[in-house]
Amino acid sequence: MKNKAPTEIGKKYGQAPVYWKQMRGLSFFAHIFKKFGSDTMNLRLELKNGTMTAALSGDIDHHAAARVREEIDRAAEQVRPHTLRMDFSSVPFMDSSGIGLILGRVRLLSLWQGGVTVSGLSPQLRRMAELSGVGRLTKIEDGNERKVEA
Amino acid sequence: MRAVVNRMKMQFPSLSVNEGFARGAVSAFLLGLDPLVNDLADLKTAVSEAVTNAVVHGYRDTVGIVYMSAKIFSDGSVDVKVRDKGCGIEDVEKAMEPLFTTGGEERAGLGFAVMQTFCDRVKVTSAPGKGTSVTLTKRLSQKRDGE
Ligand SMILES: Nc1ncnc2c1ncn2[C@@H]1O[C@H](COP(=O)(O)OP(=O)(O)OP(=O)(O)O)[C@@H](O)[C@H]1O
Ligand SMILES: [Mg+2]
Repeated sequence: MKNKAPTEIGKKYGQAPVYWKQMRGLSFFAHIFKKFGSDTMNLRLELKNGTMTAALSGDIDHHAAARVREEIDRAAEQVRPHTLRMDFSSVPFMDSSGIGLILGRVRLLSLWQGGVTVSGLSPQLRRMAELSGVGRLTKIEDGNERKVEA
Repeated sequence: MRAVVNRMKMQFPSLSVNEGFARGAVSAFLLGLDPLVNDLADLKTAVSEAVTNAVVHGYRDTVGIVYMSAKIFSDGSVDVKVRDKGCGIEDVEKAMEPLFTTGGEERAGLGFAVMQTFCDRVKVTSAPGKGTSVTLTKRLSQKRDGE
């Protein structure tokens, strides 16, 4: 749309920012429930009864973790959920950057006495979690709900 | 004797997007060995750690070239070498201690621990101001029927 010449429709779209400005007060909901493009952002966020679920997908390495972190934090700081559930059931690969991602969120949630739950770990991801001792700081749920092969 | 039966070399700029490319390339190179899925996953993880360290620490405030090479030996073992010409490590022994990190809040300090757990051998040489070289060695078991 952006590159199109300013036709009638183009002008109409041009008014969109005004509309969004009016929505500003509510916009964090739009922001939180936004579905992100799969290869740019490996994340889907959902809020239910004070629990924020972050469904991650794709390989979680340093490259992906940096982007995912920003989005989770922006939403979490606004909502301040009592629990952040990090769902790894669609994550085929994770390295220590994923552990850093979890530990960083534990630290963030602790600012308002919230906690982190980790779910959907594959056997490989579970080994990584065990090696790190991250289980002492989070609740790790059973990984029987895997959506992708690891 | 440990004779080299195949080898590859590559280099790429230290952009974080290349972390996935690097472990994918190693994985593709080794696929002909028909390795056990777990063995390959372990090595991929270790490669990801070494490359990420070059990107994040070696070339902290710049973009430099990461050099990666791999050798397959006749006994089924594999060497993967990841090298950078970045800042280098002052005290390698200390850097390799689990939980040691200079990377701040978002790093767990586990990269070397993961490499050591997931590989048979990890060799690190480094010189401050010159760069760092990490060689990962792992014996890959071949897949048998039903595995
Ligand atoms: N290629 C490198 N160049 C310069 N310093 C390095 C390099 N690799 C590792 N280091 C140093 O060694 C420390 C430990 O590395 P390690 O991979 O174990 O942990 P980390 O990278 O800090 O955290 P994590 O890997 O868990 O994200 C780093 O914090 C850094 O100071
Ligand atoms: Mg590291």
